[in-house]
Order: sequence, then structure tokens, then C-alpha cells
Amino acid sequence: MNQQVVLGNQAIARGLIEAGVNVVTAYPGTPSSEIVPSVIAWKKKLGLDTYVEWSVNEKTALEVALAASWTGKRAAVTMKQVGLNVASDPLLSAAYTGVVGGLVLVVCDDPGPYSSQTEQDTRLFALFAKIPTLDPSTPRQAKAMVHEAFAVSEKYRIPVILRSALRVSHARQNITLDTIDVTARKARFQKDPTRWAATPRYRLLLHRELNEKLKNIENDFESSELNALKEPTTGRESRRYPLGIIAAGVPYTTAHELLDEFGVETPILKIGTVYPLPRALVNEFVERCERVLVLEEPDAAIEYQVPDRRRVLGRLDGTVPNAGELTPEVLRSVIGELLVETQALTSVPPPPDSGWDELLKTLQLPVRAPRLCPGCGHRSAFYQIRRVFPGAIYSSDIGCYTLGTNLRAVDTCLDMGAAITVAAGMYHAHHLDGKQPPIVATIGDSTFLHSGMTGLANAVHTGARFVLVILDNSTTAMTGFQPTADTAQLADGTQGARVSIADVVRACGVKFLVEADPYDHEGFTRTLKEADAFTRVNTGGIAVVLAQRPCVLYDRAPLDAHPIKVEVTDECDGCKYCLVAFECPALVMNIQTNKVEVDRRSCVDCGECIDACYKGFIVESQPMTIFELATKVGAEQGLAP
Amino acid sequence: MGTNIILAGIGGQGVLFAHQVLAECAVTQGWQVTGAETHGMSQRGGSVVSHLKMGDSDAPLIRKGTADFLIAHDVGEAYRNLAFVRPGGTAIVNTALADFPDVRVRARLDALDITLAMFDADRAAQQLGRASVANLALLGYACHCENFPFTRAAVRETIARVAPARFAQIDLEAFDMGWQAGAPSWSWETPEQDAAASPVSQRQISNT
Repeated sequence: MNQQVVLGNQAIARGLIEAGVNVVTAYPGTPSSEIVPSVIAWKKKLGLDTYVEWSVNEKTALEVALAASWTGKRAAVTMKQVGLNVASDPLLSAAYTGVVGGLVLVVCDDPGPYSSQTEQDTRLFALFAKIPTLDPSTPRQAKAMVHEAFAVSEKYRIPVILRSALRVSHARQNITLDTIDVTARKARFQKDPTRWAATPRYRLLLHRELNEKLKNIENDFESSELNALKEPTTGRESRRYPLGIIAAGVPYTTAHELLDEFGVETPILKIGTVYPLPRALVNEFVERCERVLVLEEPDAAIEYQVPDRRRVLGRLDGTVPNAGELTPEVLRSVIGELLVETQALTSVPPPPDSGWDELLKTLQLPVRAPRLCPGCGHRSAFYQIRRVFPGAIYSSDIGCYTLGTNLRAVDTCLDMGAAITVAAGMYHAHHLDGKQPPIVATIGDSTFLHSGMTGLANAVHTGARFVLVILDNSTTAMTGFQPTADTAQLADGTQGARVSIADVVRACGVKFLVEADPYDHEGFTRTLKEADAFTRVNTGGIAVVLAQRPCVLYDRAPLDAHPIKVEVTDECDGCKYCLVAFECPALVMNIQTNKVEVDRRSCVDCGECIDACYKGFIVESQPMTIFELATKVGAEQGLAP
Repeated sequence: MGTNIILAGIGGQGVLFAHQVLAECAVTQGWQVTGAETHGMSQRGGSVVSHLKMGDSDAPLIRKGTADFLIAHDVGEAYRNLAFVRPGGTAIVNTALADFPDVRVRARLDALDITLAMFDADRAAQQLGRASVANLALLGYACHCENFPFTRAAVRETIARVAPARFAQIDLEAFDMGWQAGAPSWSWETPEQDAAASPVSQRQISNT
């Protein structure tokens, strides 16, 4: 059967494979992370020689892929939207230099946002960088657009962005498996210093060339099948439609469905080629409507490009909310109200779910806030950091350990790598006033290699003083256990070379580096104190603690080798200290008994919480003797012991 | 017209695998399927909701009040997602709680003519010694529901096809247990016999 039900990201991966991609690079990040594993699965299944890497960061990934394209290979690079910020330096330059083999950037936006620090729109980045951009609505379209993106990229020798979004990347659809391009593309780098090493004089020429390319691409897009006009079957004879809709991405599919629900026929222009916008096509449509509603996510890339916006409604005039996902419920009221205003509907029919929200609010459902997993080494590290440095400034970073906010051991989270630079800035600011407050920076292993090490070199060089705890859990846990450069394992499971974080730290000039296991409370706590002391002596400086404990989801072996079963004794007085300070999902309050209990379904027997009850009511379980068991059973049955 | 199904639970309960089984099953029957799932932090104990739409719509999300079925693996998530169920639709909930649902919720379900089917899938899974197969027991139970778009045989065949080899056997056992639990006492079909069996009225099931 050549039909498969797949995630949008897997559809994109299949598209890349079918397009005969030779080189794929990426840094993981939700919602983009599933593309590379799917490319690897196809590579193995079909015996392809595709080169795939998890790069150290997005800038690195783009540069590697770009160079591969300069040799004539087809290349792709995948990342989440904020990853493009990191890759922006090569991106803007690559627009000028151009490519040889096709180069496609798959960038996944996160309207909502659900798992990102911003709701930024990659399509606006594309306008800024002058990179053609396609905007799929569904997994099927995303796969088809991969082919189109390579075609445009090679015809005009320009990088192309395929802009996915959460509801495309994590949508599921059945797709058709098509044939695979087996064109052989030999690596042959043709030297051309005026292009690949262009000085500013040549850059001006390249900029003009880029503008010319964009003009021609826009012209091609005017007749592209990726844009489609759907008109009502009746009412065409009237001079102008009272309302028209221009839509792209997921909002297009939602709008379509809502118009069906309302039973209203409204002309709708779907835009798949968002940049450069086919302005003649759009203008002609706008001319034929009294009013035009533009629906797009997460910001206003199409709307900004419409030359005459006098009749255009969208995010810029406030018709469409300018933050948050355009869910069916949000669009229902936006479209419904406009249809009433333009007299296509007499009133917006009440949503079929009305009334549930108020009722459910009264039920006090459990809030499932994200928490660190039971047994997570980060929790043990944070718990001890809080105890050793109760009033410190805690700068942290992007990863699972941002959830250290729950343990009140994370004060800042800015972007990848900022734990270290923020700590340095905090130090220098206080130092101006003659003060040195305790500052503890926490950063994960993958994030340290991504963007932390440059900040560390800077901090050492400028004489900043703070404690840096590198939370090394042996993997990139948050995004699905991609190997880091600190392991020798490559993306496809083959052997690479290990880049030791400890060696990098030493090479940055750090004089205090101690490796410690956060499960070893005595040793870890002592190390933290020694680290603090080092930041305060004359000959001291930055102190780095390498906290090593594998992610429990990634590697259970160390836990299973030494299980420690715990129980809460009957003396528990329900003070909740452990729930607040240790915050393990496996410790739960029994509201009937007003005592804390161990939730056996989620407890992993790490024993780490024994310290979390300072009154000593959390204890290691002792195996029951036959006599004790018999007594217990007897008591339960109402028999005297 | 197609069928809209919401599957809801907590990270680790196998909501996404249940979604995959039903989606593959739908494609085998010639449907176009579109759906959405929530990811990201779900592995860390958060809510997981997946939307499965069979039919021509390309919009990934099911709108509130338009789902034909809600299959909830957890009581809290059942409450949270009841608003998706359309009047006249069906909610299938994994629960052992005697006080489920809340009386006001029960009244509202009745007012909307929403059928509620409850089954303790966790207990079935525990009997098999593997808590993580409750999702499949619940699917087996769901196959009895009126208008459920799949027969037992079709879902069973799909599980056998898409389950990882080392879990296939226990997955199928769980599915069969769920089916048997939902069967009225007069029915004791073998797996081979039920392919053409007509779905049992849901009203009967919720009364057992």
C-alpha cells in the first residue's frame, strides 16, 4: 500500500527523500524535531547514502547545508522558528551568494505559543532576508511543496524557506508515497570569489541580482498552482463581492470549514507562495471585493505586502487578534461577525458547545502543569542548589530544566546559552556597586554546546565570577533524546568523535571544574560550597560544576541497578514542605488522610525524596517479614494480632 | 459525511498509538484522514489530546461541539474535553469511579442526548499485567458503540499490523478483553465470528 498516515514532519521528510536530498542538517526543537529521525528511517529502509547530522546549533546547520549546496548537492536544513534567529547571520548572506544545488530551509512556527519563547513569524524573517517562502496548510501540501521549493531554489539559485507550523508539523494525514528522484549530483565546487567570497563592492551587484531574482519569482508565482481562488457558484455577475477572504496556512483550512458550517459561499483566495507575494493576483482579487479579510499565522506577512490596504481587514487594523493561535473558536467569531456585517448572515449562530466552560470551571479539574519527571537528576541538583544558595540569583536556560522554576531555582530564561551571559551581566552590574551576590547559572549539556561555550569564554575573559552548573543528562531530552556532541554517537547511530564538555570548559580557561552526581547529596552539596568559595577568593573566578546524571527516560539502567523504595510514615503531618520544595509528581497529598503518599504508578524508586522531608517521615521501605505481613493481614480482617 | 473522534489522556497512556490505530484503520477503509495531536511537554505528565477526522476536511482541529466520539483515557481529561462532543454524540471514558460523572455534568449530557459509556480499562490492563495497554482495552470496548465507524475485526487487524512486534500479542489480548467486557452477556463470539456483527446498542452497554 502506498498510503501512509503520517505526521506533517514525516510528510516533509518523505518529501525531502523523494526530492533526492543529499545532505540534511538540523538542530532539534519543537515542533520541528521529527523531520530528521524520519529522514534517517527512510535512508536506512531504502539504503540511501543521504548525509544527515544533528548539528551543534542552527547557524552551524545552515552553513554546512549551504556549503553542500554550493558543490551542487541538494541540501536541506530544519529547525524551529527561534532557531532561525541563531541561523540569521548566514541566512541573510546566503540570499546574496545564492546556491547551486537546491537548498531548502524547513522552519516550523509555533502559533500559541505552545513550546517556544516567542510567537515570531518566520515569513516576516523571509521578507527581511529576501528569501522566497512557501506556506503549506496541511501535511500533504507540505510534502508537495518540498518538491516545489527545490524547483524554485535551483531555477533561481536561491535558498527557499518551507515555513511549516505546529498544526502542520504535528497534524496527521494520509499521504501517498511517490517515486524518488535518483539523479546523481556530484560534488564539484566551482570557484567564484566574486560570489562565494564577495567583498562589499560585489555585494552590491549580488543585491541587485537578488532583487531581479525576486521579481522573476514573483512573476512565476502569479500563475503558481500553490495559489488558488475558490469563487461562489452564484453571485459572480455582481460588480463586487461584499466580502472576500485571503488565507494561508492552517487558518485557510479552518476558514474553509467554518464557511461550510455557516452555509455561506464567500470567495476565498488561498496563498501558498507567501513571499514574494503575487501582487497582481492579490490586487485583482482585492479590487473585486468590497472588503477583504486576511487570515494568516502567526503574524501579518501577506497583509503587509498587499499594496492597497484600504479595504483590507486583518491583524493590522485589529479585526484579527494580534497574539495567540487562530483556533476554530477564534476564527468562528471573526468570520461570523464579518458575515453578519456584510449581511451574508443575519446573526452568528451560537457555538454548539456553549455552556460547558462555565460548568467545567466549577469542577476544579487537576491542572497538569509540566513538571520534571520523577527521578530527574535536575530536580536533585536544583533542590541542593536552593539549599546551599537560598537567596542567590538563578540564571537558567532553554530545556527541560527551565521547569526548575517550579522549585524556585530558575529566575531567568532568555534564549539558548543566556544562562552564562546573564550570570556574567549580573556579576558585572553588582560589581560596579562593590557587591558580589551569589549567582548560580544552570544550563544543559546540549544547550551549553549550542550557544553556552562562547558566553563562557567571554565570562572567563572579562573576569566574571559565578557558579555555573552544567546539567549533563547525556542527551537532548526535551526534544526527544537526540545525541549531543558530548557523546560519540551520530544522528544515524554511527560512531563519531566525542567533544568532551569538560575539555571545552577547561579550554575556556576555567580553573575550577568538578564533576559530581546530583544523586550523591553529600558530595554534590560539598562541591557547590567549594565552588562558591572559589568565586570569592583572590585567585578565584568562575567555578563550574558538571552535574552528571542520565535522563531517567533516556537511560533507566543506573536507577534500576540501585532501586530505593520509599514510603511515607504514618507520622506525616501533612505540612507539604516536600511537595513544594521537592515537587516530585510521585509525591501526592491524600486529602482524606491529610498525609503525603507515594504514587506507585509514577515513582521510579530513586529514593531522592528521603532528604526532602526534614522531619524524617520519608523513609526507605524495609521488606516486610512474614510475621509482619500476617499481623497486617490479620489487622485488616479485624483479628487481634 | 465523515466521523470526528477526540482521543484524550495523559502523557504515557498511549493516546497517540490509539490514534494511529484508528487512523490507519480508516485509511484501509478508503477514508481521507486529517488530525492533530498535542506534543512537546506531554511526556512530562501533561494532557494529551488528539483529533482524528475522517472525511474531506483538511482542517486539523475538531471544533467544539462537533465530535462524534470522545475516547477519554482519564476522568479529568474526559471532563476537559466533553465540550468537543456534539449533541447526540458519544463519550467513552476509562474510569472506575462510582461518582463519575458529576451530577450536573450528567444532566447536561442527558440534555444534549450524549451517550456516556464507562469502562475500567485500567483494571483490564492490570489483569494482563501491563498498565500501558489500557488504551487498547478501551478501543475494544469502543467497538461496541452505536455508529462507531469501525468493526472489531478491522481494528483488530490494524493493531496486528501496526503494533511493534514485541507488543502485538499483549495489545491484541487487551483489545479482546475490552471487547468482551463490552459485550452483552448473551454474546460470546470468537474473534472470527464478529466481523459482520452489528453494533450493540450503546444504551444497553451503559446499563450493564
